[in-house]
Amino acid sequence: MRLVALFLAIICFTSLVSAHSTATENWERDLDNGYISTAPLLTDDLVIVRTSGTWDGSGSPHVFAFDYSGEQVWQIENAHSLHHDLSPLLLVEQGQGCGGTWQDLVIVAWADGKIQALDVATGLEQWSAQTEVITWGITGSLAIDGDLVVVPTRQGLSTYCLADGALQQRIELDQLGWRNGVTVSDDAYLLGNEEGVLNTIYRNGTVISELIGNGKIRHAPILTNSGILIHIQTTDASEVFIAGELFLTAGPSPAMPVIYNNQVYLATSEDFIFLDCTLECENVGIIPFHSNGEIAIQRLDDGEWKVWAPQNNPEGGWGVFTTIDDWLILQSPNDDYATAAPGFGSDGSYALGNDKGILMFYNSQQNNPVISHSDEEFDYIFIITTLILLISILASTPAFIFHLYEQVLKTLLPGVVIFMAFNITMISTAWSGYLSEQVEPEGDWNDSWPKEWRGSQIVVFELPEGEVVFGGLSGHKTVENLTDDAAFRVGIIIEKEVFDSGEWVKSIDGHEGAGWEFRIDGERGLLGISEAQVNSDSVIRWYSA
Amino acid sequence: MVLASGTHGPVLESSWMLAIHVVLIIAAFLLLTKPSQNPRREVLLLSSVVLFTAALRVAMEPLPNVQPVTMACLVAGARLGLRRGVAFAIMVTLLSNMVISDGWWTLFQASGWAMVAAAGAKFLNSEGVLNMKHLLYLSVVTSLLFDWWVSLSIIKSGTTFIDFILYLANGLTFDLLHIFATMAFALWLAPALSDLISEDASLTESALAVGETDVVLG
Repeated sequence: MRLVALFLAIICFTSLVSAHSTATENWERDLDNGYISTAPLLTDDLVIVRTSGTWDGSGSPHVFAFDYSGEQVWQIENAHSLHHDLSPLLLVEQGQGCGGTWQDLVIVAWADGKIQALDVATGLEQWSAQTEVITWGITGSLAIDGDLVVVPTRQGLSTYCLADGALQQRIELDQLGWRNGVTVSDDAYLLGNEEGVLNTIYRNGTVISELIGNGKIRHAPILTNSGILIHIQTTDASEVFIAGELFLTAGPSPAMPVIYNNQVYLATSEDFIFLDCTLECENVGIIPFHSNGEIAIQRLDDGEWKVWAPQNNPEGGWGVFTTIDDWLILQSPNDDYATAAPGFGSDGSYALGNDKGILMFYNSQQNNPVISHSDEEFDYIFIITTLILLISILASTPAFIFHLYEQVLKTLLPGVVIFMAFNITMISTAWSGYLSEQVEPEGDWNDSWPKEWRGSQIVVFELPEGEVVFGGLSGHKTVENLTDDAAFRVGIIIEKEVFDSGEWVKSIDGHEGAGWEFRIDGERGLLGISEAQVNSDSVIRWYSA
Repeated sequence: MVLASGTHGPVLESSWMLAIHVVLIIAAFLLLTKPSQNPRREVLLLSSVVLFTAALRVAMEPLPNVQPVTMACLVAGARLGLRRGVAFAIMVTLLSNMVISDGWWTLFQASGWAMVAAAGAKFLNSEGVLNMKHLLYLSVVTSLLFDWWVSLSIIKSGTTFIDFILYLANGLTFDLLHIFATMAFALWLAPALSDLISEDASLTESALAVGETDVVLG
């Protein structure tokens, strides 16, 4: 009897320990050296994520691996990268083929053209290769073709043996690519580029190039039953082509489309689009939504699925779509601009990351893993300083009643100074906004710009080599956010420096000159970039002082 | 000459910064060079007040435009006289800017506070207790004028008059904070600072029997 009791006790204890070891908490980690622009990868026990550098060029892009409890297992850094590390990490299961055998790998492609195959468990480099750099290196998504990894390089395509990184095929192309992921079909690799050309690269090296449209192909082509689907980014909108034919036009800055069970999901700065390509592709419906990055499929246990798309505006969060009529926006406590899709684990866990550089892990066993509305953040400084102000007002009242005006000032002024000093940003921003309303701006519209940019946010960089303009933006509240967004989209690196009064731009695309200043709608900027407010139709013009 | 455009104006080459420093140091030296019966005591008094004020400014630096130096310059001008008040302003600016941030604007700040000290010497220079009413009035006027004077440092070839006026208008909330802070310092610290300087100065000058002759403009 005692033995049975002991046996049962051991079983209970073991199960308790087991339960404790698997029931990990939700957690978040601030990867403060960069933005998370691509989806985290979840293995059975690790969350692997990369940072894509920072807007200001400080710090270096990293790849981190955390276990499910949030402890960092390993990390690597590329100090030479070019801060646009937008190629998604690629997980490869162990196998054998050309070059021998390989363990579970995570393949990392960098903006400086380097490819690294890392051991998933340790982060140790198994092999590496270098591809060409023409301003940038690799920014598109890689693909697996049997025992090869297929790499869309800046101006071509290379394949490497997974076991040892030996180069198997190299194709030079005429056009440059940017975020131009590669798709592996039965007999060829499909690759778009910045000139709207779709290259079909057969395994024997034959290349067939087809001009799809007047724009940029910035995603891996999609294979549908109706033919190859390409979502082209044009100057002020986007166009979806299927089998070379224009299928529909949509909003600007398209996201990277995905296909699952013959359902194609696309997004732009204005729309989330459902296509049913079971037979011929049909437009099922369009929902207003702002997404410009990755789209991911979450497979559910019952065979159903949900589609996740990051919302790329200041509100942030992730749109979760089931059908055209069933969707919602999930928000995290750290919402910001987001272009990275979530990473999903086989047990229902998932990880989120956004431009704040905060990795958020949610365990499937936790209830309510993502809150639907972010908590209101209390501004404790405002509350405390307001209390101090009120106390000083109250304390000065008796002196006021007895006409002791010097005593009134003596009691009142410290409270006023403390309140103003700690809330000066809020006060000066409000005052500046009021002044802006009173002063009629002269405007800064150029008739040669696309009409569709009217009413949107536009940024002009007056670089020594000429003007670079990007418009059609929306949702930005400050000069800093708007500038960063535009710079990122046109591939310009902004270097900032911090003064006692805030951040100021030190260089734009490597040009320091005699300093950089900005005009908002023709008026000289008078506040720091993080404080200067913009309207929904503002034109920011950066010029060398 | 100009390396880059900073928050308060152009960032200068080191040789130009050196030239500004030399000019300011020579000015302070010349203002302090005068016969004294008790030079050690005077040096001690002036340097301790300069150090205290500079340290206070550095300590207050996280609070934007809260400038204890303005009040200190008014009191120093009133109690030490024109020459030593102006020298005090220059030395405090140089010393505190070494910690906070140094540049083209140092010239404007030093000259601005020197003018504040001169105003203190001119309008508050009376024997006995500091006239608080006058000090408060001067705090308002000099804080505002000091801010506008220093704002001149941002002017360059492309700056239009409208730009400058808009710049000043945008900065009014900061000016207001400067005014209130200077008034608060005046009410809370000025009497003590004035007494400290007066007591020490009277000890220093008791043997001189020349009163404030050194502050009379020639």
